[in-house]
Amino acid sequence: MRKPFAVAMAAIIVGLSGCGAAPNDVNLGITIPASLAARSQRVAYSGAPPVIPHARQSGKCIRCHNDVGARTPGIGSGLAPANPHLQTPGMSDQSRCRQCHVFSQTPENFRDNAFVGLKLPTHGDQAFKGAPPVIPHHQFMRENCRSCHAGEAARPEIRCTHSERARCVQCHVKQSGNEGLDLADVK
Amino acid sequence: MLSCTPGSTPTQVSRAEVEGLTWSKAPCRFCGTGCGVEVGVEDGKVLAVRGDEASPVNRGLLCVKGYHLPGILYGKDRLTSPLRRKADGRGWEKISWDDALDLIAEKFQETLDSDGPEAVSMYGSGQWTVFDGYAATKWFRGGLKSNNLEPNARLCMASAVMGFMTQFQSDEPMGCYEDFEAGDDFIMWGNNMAEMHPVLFSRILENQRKNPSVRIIDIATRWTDTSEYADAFLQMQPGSDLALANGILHLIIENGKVDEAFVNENVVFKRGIEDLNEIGYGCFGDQAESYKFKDVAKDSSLEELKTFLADYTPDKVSELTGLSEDQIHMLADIYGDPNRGTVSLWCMGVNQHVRGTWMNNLINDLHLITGKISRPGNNPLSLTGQPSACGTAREVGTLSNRLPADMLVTVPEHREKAEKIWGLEPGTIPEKPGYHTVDLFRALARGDVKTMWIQVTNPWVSLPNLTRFERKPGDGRFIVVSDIYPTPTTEIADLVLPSAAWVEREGVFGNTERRTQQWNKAVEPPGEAKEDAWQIIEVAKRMGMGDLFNYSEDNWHEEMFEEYRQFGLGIGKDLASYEQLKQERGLRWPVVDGKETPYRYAAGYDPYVTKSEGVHFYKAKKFGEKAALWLRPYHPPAEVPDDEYPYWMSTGRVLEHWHTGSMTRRVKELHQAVPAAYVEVNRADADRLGVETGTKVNVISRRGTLTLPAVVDGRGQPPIGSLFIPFFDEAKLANVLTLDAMDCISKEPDYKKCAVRLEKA
Repeated sequence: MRKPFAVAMAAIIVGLSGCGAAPNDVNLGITIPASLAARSQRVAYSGAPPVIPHARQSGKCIRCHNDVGARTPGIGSGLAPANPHLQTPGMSDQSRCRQCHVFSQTPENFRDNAFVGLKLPTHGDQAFKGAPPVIPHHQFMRENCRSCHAGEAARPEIRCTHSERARCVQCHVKQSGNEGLDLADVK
Repeated sequence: MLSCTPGSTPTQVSRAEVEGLTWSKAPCRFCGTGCGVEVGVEDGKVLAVRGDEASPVNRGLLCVKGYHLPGILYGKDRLTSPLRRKADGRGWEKISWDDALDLIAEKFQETLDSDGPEAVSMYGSGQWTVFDGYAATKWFRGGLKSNNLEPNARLCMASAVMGFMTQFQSDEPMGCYEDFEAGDDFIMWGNNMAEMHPVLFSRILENQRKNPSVRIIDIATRWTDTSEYADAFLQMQPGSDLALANGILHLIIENGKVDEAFVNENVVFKRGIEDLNEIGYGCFGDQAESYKFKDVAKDSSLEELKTFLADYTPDKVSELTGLSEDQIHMLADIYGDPNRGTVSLWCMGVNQHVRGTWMNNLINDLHLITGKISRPGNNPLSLTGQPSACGTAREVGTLSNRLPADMLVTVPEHREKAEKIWGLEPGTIPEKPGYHTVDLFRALARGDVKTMWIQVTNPWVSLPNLTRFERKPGDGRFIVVSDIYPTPTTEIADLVLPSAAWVEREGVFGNTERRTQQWNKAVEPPGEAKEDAWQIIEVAKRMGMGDLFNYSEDNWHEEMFEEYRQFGLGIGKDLASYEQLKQERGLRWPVVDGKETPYRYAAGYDPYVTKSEGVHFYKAKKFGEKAALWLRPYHPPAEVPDDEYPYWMSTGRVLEHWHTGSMTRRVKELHQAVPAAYVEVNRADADRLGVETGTKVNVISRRGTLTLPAVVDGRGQPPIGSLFIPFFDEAKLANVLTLDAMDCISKEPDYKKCAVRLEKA
């Protein structure tokens, strides 16, 4: 029963320091096509590896998808998000991206498929208005929050207003059930 | 657990990823790696998967196929009811399960009565769960008294089985996945691990990042994604790996790198039949209908090995292989270095080989002669392509000559043990092995086999030299096919049964490193689909063989598993209890006192080894509990390019598709990534023919013609005079071109080497 208290305290501290949920009206003077809907198109379900939305480029993926992201004029949206996996155990800047991320050569399907994947979360729950949202998704392979939540390539609706603060998980905590599978629960 | 109560305002549509989902464990449905997957289910549907962070296999990572597992269940053309071909041969009619099962029982009985047990057959796969394979082998051998039971694993890893059996008298590797962290040098013998076993390859890459002295050596006939990451790419002539391995052995001896203490204590030498004319290739002349060559072992010695290897000097091996002498020396130095861990890895390049067992023997020999075996970071490790090729085809023993736990139908004591566990009258199990896969389909084509039941596999895409197996309904045969989607194999069937897939049923798979993994049913199968084991048991009941499956209705999986488990207890093949498997992310056998074994035959790891250090090949009773090092020569491939057919042609997989594509092609992301087959052509050949990527070309072999778009400078790049075609595309059947030449011992076909012509279409 101590955790709700801790969450509430953290929220108060964050609230006092002027931070809160990301507003939707951040204007960086650049159009971001990677909206929630566009992103949903690229993943089979929330947590699936996105298909590569741009044409094949020469050189290694991490040249642009590095630890901070890059401007990539003329390629895709013009902004390459940072690599979210650099802190993932077992992964590094030498990992093989195309093991999971593939190009698309055709919009056609072989046969129709009725699969409906888990939807991307729209937001994290808050204890009250102004409280830091809990993290509404699994974090494994997404340890680098900045990849999606900070910088120019972040979707406006999930872009953090305070990305200068180094340690996100100090205030944003996991939502219950986002831990790995516990076999003791499996009957 | 966090118990914070969310305070969402009514206008917010909160949808956390996990909310409302139930997660359970399962191994991946695709390759033999056996990645742990968490399956997320809501309202009876699989909505998502995650790599299981706690799985010791994949530690949370998956490959693109694994991440797209949910989609394989929801193709709109899933088979949902039994379908019988209409009397006029055109189209299908739905029938009830009762009618379908009665019909199968009637047809099997009819054939038994008219032509005997050698005319009925069942063809399954390394995707059968342990339950499916166990039900099949018990029904066939104990009920129908027929050994005509085969898995498609004969096309896949039979050569690895025979390699391990001829040398250690026990199937399955001694090493395990910890070797990916413990090893220093990783030698790829003709396998494209980056695409075929990507999650395991990522473990090697991570080892290399942490330990920059780690090397990846890619011995290959074609530049692949694996080559991009390799420290050395050694391009060899197709089939010359036999000469290369002998050349390495030659130099190890010459350089004084034999571990004599190890060899004296643990190794015996054997030699088999080597006459090319006597052995043949299983597809020419009087072998074209039936291939029965049997090797005969005689004793040999280290001295004889030295004489035998005199021919394999670096200059001669260089000429045969195309490698430079320096490259051959480099490999000999790697294998001969006692201070660096060496792991040999191989898959279909070595196994689908007219001398695949020999090649397996030679790789194992390299580890035996240097004593680099059964130690962390030092092992030969054969990689498998199907999720339960090991657990079912090999361990349950669904090959036509095998019984559970490495036993053979030809050995009276083995049959007796099986009959005892199965509660059968002595003498029930026939001693004559059934047909091996290629001969089985040849017999079906001839009409010697009349009735066949095919489950979880697609032979009318995957058999070599496919056109010789063409089949028309109404030809006096009766073919039943159980599958989850329509395929070219269901197309030729007389009766099609809808099967439950993956987590639509309870199951057990066994992976490459001897890890047995259990999962529970997570969702209902669609329509009337049923699991394969249930289908078999129901037919057996209708044939009066229900006593074989006298289990309770609500706990039959566990009861069947515990019965199967009796075969391996106390003989080094001990599986964990079903109860324990439910609670673990798989365990590697032998499991004794609840503890798994990472390294077999190794003191300190294997509970069957009582000595305090070193190794003990305790399963090899025939060799005085030592391992056999086989002298095996170089033989040329069955068909080599000539003036009329000047190109080598090889087939294989791509990362995105699994085998014949019947599952992965139905997943949007995977299909869109690689929508159709193509032929990889070297830039120089393409320029000479005026061909670019996308140009239609005809690939012509002595057996068939295939029209495909060319790919030049693509992901894979064959050398000049060599082509590669992936086999996943049912509209572009690579196997109309391939030859049905086989390994002389395992009878596994060689899909990697035949001669073709290339023309602009």
